[in-house]
Amino acid sequence: MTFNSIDFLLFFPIIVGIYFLIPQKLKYIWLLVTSYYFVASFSTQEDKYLGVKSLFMLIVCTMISYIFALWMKKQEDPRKKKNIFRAGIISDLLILLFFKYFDFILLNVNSFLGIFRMKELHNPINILLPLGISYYIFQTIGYMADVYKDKAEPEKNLLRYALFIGFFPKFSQGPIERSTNLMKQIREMEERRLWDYEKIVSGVCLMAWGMFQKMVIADRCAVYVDAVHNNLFSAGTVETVSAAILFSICIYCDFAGYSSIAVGAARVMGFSLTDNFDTPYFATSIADFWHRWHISLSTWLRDYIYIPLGGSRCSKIKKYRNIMITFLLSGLWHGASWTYVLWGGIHGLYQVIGDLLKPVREKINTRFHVKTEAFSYTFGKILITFGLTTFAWIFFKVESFENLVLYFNRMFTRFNPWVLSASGLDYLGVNLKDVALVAVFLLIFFVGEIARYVCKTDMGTFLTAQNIWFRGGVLLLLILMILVFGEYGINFDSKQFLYMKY
Amino acid sequence: MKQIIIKGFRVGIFLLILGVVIWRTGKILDWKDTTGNYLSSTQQLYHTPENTMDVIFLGSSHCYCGIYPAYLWRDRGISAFDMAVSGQDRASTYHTLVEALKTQKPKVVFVDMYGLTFDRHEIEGNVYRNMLSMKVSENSIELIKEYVEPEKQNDFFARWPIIHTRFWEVGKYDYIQYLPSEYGRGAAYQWGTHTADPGDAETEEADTLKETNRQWLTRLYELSREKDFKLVFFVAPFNIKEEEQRQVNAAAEYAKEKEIPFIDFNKIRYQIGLNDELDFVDEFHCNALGAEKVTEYIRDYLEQNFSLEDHRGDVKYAQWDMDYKWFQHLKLKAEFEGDNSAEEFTGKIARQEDLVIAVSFDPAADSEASEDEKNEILASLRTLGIVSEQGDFAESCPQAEGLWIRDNSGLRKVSENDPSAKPFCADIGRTDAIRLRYSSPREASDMMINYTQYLRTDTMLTIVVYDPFLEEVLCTKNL
Repeated sequence: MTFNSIDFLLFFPIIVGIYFLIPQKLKYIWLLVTSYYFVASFSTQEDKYLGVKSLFMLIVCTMISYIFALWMKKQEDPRKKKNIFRAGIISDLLILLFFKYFDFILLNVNSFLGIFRMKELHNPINILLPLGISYYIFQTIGYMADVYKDKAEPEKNLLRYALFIGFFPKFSQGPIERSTNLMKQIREMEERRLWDYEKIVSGVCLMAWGMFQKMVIADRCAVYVDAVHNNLFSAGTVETVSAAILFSICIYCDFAGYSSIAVGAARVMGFSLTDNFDTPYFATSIADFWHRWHISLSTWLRDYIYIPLGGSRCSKIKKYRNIMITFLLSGLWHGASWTYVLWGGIHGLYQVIGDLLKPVREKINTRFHVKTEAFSYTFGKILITFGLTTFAWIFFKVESFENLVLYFNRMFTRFNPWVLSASGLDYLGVNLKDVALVAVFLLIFFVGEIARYVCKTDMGTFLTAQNIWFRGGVLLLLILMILVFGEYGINFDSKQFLYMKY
Repeated sequence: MKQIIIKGFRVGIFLLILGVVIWRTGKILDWKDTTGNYLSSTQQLYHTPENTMDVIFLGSSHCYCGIYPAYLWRDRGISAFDMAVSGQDRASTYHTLVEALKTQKPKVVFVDMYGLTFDRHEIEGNVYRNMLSMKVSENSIELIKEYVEPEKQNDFFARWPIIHTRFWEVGKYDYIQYLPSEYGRGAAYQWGTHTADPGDAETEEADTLKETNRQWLTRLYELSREKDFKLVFFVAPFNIKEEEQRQVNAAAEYAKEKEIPFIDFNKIRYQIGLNDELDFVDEFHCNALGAEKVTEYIRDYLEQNFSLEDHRGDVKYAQWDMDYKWFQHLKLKAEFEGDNSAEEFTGKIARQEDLVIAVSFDPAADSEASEDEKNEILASLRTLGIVSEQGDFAESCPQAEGLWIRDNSGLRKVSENDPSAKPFCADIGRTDAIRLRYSSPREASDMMINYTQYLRTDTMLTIVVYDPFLEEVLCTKNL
């Protein structure tokens, strides 16, 4: 069951209705049952039991981290405690390594052996990737690390802990929650007032905004982007550049859309999840971009990899090494492919080069009397950052090195703006009316982003603060646009969210 | 408590407005055709008074193109109805009949055997035509469960996941009712001509009747006994393949076994006088001429085997009158589409008094017109009653120059040669308006219906014919 399915539209109001009707002390059990049902209900044409298998792995990982955390807490000897912590982390990582990277490693070993004309070890075994595994494994690692460092108390109630790991709004695509946030809220469920009209309204508005981002913008842009990527041989500069820009918007609306639905759904039930996005394309530098993009992953990588490696409080060389390791791992987390690793590496390099060139930039600014406080300067930085991230997204989108090379080849050849005419677009399966429609939606999205940037709140909170007629009107329009212009139903096969596969 | 009531009231109002908006939008986007071009036999069924259909024909496009209830009404006053949907499959045939039997008690039901020849639809639109046209009920849900793959059934039940994709094709008749979908009797009237493919119906061999086909025929047979109507199996003319004919022959044997009459029009197509060159609109669908021959055969069959009442003149059956009127208007439209001399053309429109006619006459527009051309124009103006029978072209010009209209209020001149005068504007249909303005030379001239300009600057006489019944411009003539 995905957030953009009819099943979820039926599932959510029913489970929320019952959730508010049952006694306070049963609520967390109800949420755990519904969360597990949510996970088990996933299926694909290739594997009808994907959800059930994923649920099994979720329970296994939950049990491992639950037991290791309690065991650590009981251990007085710091050396033994450290060993238990290491064992817990290694168990989790081995699971992730097996399910996500085994085939990737095998393929690379085979290629390496091939260079020396040695026999291949084994063919890839196409291991099923359990849903949400990258997210909840990172969450369990973070939890064990927090318990190890005494930043968090281990949870004794297994069901409460299982809800912390498997809570359905954030199960398949995050946010990657910390025990200091979500676990705390689950523990306090019986004391907290969960029914809050304002929060429910805010959550519903945020969910509608998320669905609009995903179903209306991301999936409509994806039609063009996929058409260009599927016809790279025929593409030229205009198609590839426009597809790269649209993919930037597409992946943002896809992932941010999911996050908004997740945060909104949790808010309806009285939970506050980590806000995963904060207008990332208004970032003025790559470092700033990573403070705004997939915030729960960025902060996780910062707290559990970058800082333990030494962070920035060390020599420049070590600092750059730490940045590169963190971003290469970030790339690898996104997928078992060298193109993802390259994508992460490029983001690392951007930051290293940016840091190295900082004195040069400052000199230029001084020499040419650049007004760094002016809007135009900030706007220029925003444009450059957007350009750099868009360039990096190409590595993220292409499926192989061959396609990457071809993509760059086509970016600098066959300049023909007339492909954007009606007949040219027709060839790509898009018509001018669709383009006009997407332009209108992008304008709405842009206004939403500006509102978020200026007001520093998400769309749900922003709308809740408005007059009832404006809020009601916007919500009505959003629902209508989703129902009419959303990409869903029988002729639509891109039902999955892009970030679900990570 | 007061706060809770206020908040509850707000939520209630919002949900009410949302519900109304979604309901109205759903109505606009809803699937509306079973035949093409907004024509829906299912909607026609829902608009038909209870217990008025004596004869029902079930089938696909071969049925609604091959059998015209209008002919049966014209000739014998038989209240027949084509409960036909494009590419009607077996499950749809059965459940459409069940839907019709909710309000009708037909004496005879003819079922086209085309359903024997395929298991799944090849055209996606036909799936929607068959699955989404009925009102939501236990019957329509059963149909979806029977035909649609389990993983797609929810989309069909909810309908929105399918119909929302229509947003680019929404047109005028999504906002207002397409009237032929109320009074039409299921047929799709067509006058085009195309050489037909006669198919391969000669074989007398029969295959074993497929189990799915046997089940379908048995189901229909049992329904006929349960609801007490006479069942007749028939095959409307189409280009049948030999293996399909062998299955049809097997069905004929089954029918014989159960004493169900069986008429195979593919086998008797030349016996009833069907002409492959003249009687088909494409390779496998009858046109009005072909349908007349098929329907006459059925008329005679009904006359010989049943005593059906003549309902002509009964107000309860007004829709059959309307349908016949619609047939006549479409026939007239088809006649206009052919080559017509000016005399024939003006003669026809002069006689057909329920048409709106706009005429622009500017004698200065074509200074090089020959005497013959001028005489032709003069004759046309006379036929229309714009100029008197006496006088030659030059004498008649001052009287006729300007813009004329003939509508419910009769024939009158509505615009003289005065560029500063206000244009004549009038509503001529539910959504159509006409705007007329005349000047010579024609810088300030208009002869517009909605946003289309019909006036030509190089001809003396322009005639636009609008049919308020069909709600469309039938034709234009420039002389």
